[in-house]
Amino acid sequence: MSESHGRRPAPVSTDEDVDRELRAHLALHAERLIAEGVSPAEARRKAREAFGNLSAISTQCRHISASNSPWTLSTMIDSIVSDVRFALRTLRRSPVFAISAIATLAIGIGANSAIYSVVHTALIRPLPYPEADRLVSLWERNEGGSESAIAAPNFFDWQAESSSFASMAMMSTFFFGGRTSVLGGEQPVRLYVAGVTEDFFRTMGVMPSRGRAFDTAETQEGAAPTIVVSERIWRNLLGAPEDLTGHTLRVYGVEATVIGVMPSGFNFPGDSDVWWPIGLSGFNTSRTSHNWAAIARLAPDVSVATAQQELDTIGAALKVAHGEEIDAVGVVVRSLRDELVGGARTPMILLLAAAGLVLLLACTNLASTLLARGTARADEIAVRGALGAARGRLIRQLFTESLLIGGTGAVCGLILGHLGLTALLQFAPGGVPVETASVGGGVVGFVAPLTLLATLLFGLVPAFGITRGGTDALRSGRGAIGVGGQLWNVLVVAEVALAILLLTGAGLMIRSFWQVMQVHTGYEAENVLTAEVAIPSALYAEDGDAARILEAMASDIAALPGVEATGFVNHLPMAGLSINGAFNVEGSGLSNAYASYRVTGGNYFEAMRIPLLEGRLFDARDIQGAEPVVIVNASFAAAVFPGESAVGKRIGNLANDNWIYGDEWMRIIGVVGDVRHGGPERPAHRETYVHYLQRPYRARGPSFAIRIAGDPAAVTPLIRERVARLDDQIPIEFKALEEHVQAAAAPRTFTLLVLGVFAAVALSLAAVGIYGVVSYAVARRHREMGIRMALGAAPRSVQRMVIGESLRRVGIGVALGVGAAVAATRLLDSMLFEVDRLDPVAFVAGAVALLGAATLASWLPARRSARVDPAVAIRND
Amino acid sequence: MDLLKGTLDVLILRTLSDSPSHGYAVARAIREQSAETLIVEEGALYPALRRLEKRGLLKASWGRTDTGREAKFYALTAPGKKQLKQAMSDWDRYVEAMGLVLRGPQA
Repeated sequence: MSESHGRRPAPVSTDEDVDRELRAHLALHAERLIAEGVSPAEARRKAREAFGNLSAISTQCRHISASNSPWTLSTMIDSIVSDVRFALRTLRRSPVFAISAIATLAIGIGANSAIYSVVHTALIRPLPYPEADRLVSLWERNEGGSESAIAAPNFFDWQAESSSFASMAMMSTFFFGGRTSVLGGEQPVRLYVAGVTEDFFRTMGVMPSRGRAFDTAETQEGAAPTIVVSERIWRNLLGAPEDLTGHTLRVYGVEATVIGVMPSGFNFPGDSDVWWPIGLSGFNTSRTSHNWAAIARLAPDVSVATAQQELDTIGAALKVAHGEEIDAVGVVVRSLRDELVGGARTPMILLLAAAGLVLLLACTNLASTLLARGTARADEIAVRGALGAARGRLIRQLFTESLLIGGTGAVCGLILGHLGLTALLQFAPGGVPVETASVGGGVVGFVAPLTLLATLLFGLVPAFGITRGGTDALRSGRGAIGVGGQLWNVLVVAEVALAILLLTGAGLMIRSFWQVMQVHTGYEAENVLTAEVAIPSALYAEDGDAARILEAMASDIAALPGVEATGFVNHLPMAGLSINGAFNVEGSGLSNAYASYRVTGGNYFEAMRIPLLEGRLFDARDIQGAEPVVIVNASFAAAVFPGESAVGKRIGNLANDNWIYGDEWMRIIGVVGDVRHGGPERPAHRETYVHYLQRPYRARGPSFAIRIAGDPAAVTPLIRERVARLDDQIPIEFKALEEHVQAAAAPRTFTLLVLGVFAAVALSLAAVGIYGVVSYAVARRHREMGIRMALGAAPRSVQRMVIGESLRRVGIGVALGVGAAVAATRLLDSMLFEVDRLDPVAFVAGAVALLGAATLASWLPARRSARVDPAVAIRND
Repeated sequence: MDLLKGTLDVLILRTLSDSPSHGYAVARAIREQSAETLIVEEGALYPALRRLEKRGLLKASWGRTDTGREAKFYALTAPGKKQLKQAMSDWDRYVEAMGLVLRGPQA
């Protein structure tokens, strides 16, 4: 090539200089191609193609030549853009690495953001009431520390004598505030009607947004019924009238005037839609009739502990004053949040910890993947370092790459978290106020630092590991090949230990779940359909009328094809609380024991398959006017009549029903098996069953239990039709009895499900990590393997050696993980059911699962080592 | 085969040590002299040229090719010649070191 220098003036700007130079290149290349006979258009295209990314290169050139110019924002952005472009190109070249890294991180971050959203909403975010941290709930504490609902006279004494509270109010218990028919719209609807005392709204700090709250006169016994309704009822049932005047709804069978509408979103307690002054019907004067919950607002500067102290003093004095007439020995004062979150706190913290472990595992996995990748590129980086590339620059490139993975992982993680949260809320047990949880600001504030930390963790450690070698590595001739080897072993050990921790936890939960499923609940839920009905007192004012329609419904349903047995009860097992109270035993006066009180009708025991142990069940003899009879359960018989038969004995004043039925004894005619009414994990209590014809008072909202042979779906329309034919004003709701059982087990199922998914993720992450490390080790020692085999080692022994080395590391991890699990399962202890927290089955199963996965993950790449062709392996170098 | 990253600089210095040349010619020279084994991604050459110019190892000036086309020509400076010598001896040591490891006494 000949040349002629310097005729043209140098370009005025760097930009122009770069442009001209690159255009010249393309022109020269095209020129040459044309000389070879390519068409001009084709030549220009080919030249462009051979050149690569023209705009990226031109930007890069400009930076280099302009880097003397002051460091401006635009050059900074340009340099970041070029770093990102570089990282993107690098990642595109190894899509498997990029995808697995991003997926790993996304899973870790997704799990964390979903769980954290729930925890944040339930435990951290303030409840939606003014100064909600001042709100407490009150309960009675009984001998032995158990809690119960409040007897009205006790509450009024607390209210009169305490000074710790700005205001306090009694209300329906959160869970017991059973639904009631409310008529007034086109169809009878069933809503939660919360009975409240006058100060309820003031205590909550939320007043009606339209209309007004109850005044003192309206809450007195015998006052004209008034109600406050929720915003959604005002909208949907009343038609959102501007003026409430003249609007009424039928509640509890009476016409009640709507005087106020609560602000949208206020549905406390539970999911209430109507607030009703409980004073209207007067208060039971018994101090052992536990009917109410209470909410109170602490006075300024009074702590929960101070209030607790004061109420305990008052409670103790009441016990002294009333002796046998009162069973409360103290008062429980609990913050409203604790009340609402209750037993869900431990599982939530546990799941958050588990999610944290998953993220840690994800980071460890990424660190080892990046390290593997970095080591594979170590030669290249060492040479570049030797040829003058700045170490800072190399670290920056690696860091950009990690950051890109971190960012993409975080975005995918948040999307995954959002989906996960939707699923979580679907499965979340009721009671915990998390319906409004979302992957929102708080979560991003949690995830952003988490991602940054994760990125630093997996991005910088390998970056320093790789570049530490530098020129020393070249000089020593060992290159950067061995760098990070030790770190790597540590990572594998850590991954295995973390996975063991999660696997053991999940194992213990599975064992507990299994134990719970094995519990005999005392009845057979399979093939039983339940139908909840309500007999409105407006239409059936007399108890006798209500009894007649129930009787007609029971016999009509029993006659339907496919129905094997049917009966009804006022409160089904595992469907909420029941009525309970003290009772008298003939010949020994008041028993200070408790028993629940259930009203049944039809063939309830047969339909539920609750076994009769002694005596007889209710039959046609047991009608109004005949001798009052009662059936008790085995626990009752054993506790009240130890060592003798309960049948034939007489008891009375069950759940204080003397005020309705007078002072009469009821003869025990039978003893039935115990039923775990409170759920499979709660032992059965003393139980009494009465017949609705003799005790009709509490049978107005019964649930039918209908044992069906065949498909329940075929029977439900028939039942609906029969009931409608009897009275189309009676609302009816169907549910499989098993749904109640599932609902009772929901918190456990939920925890198990989430922990199980986490453990599975942990297991696969650990397996992928091990696979990666072994694969790399095999590739690195390709030649060594070849030589070993050339010298006569059997392929199988080489393979065994590789697996053995990997499993040694895994073994250390398992040992550490088991050690950590022994300590960490303490957190689980309160959630285990009839399983020891050091249950050997769970520990062994966890270790075996991991060792199995680890062996597979080591064997797959090890097979490759056995297939090494010695000749090829040695020649390749 | 793809060029090892970082080795491009030393290849450029070596190519320009024969005579000053423009980018396109450098790319062709590397390709031809390595018997078509080393293929320089043509675009990647220019940032490298500019970096070397920046570090004072090359000097550049605009001129014309023998076909009369405008092009930017690069030539080695004195520090450039020194750097080339250093890099070549580094490379030899590196190859030797690699050889020791890869064909070393292990196995």
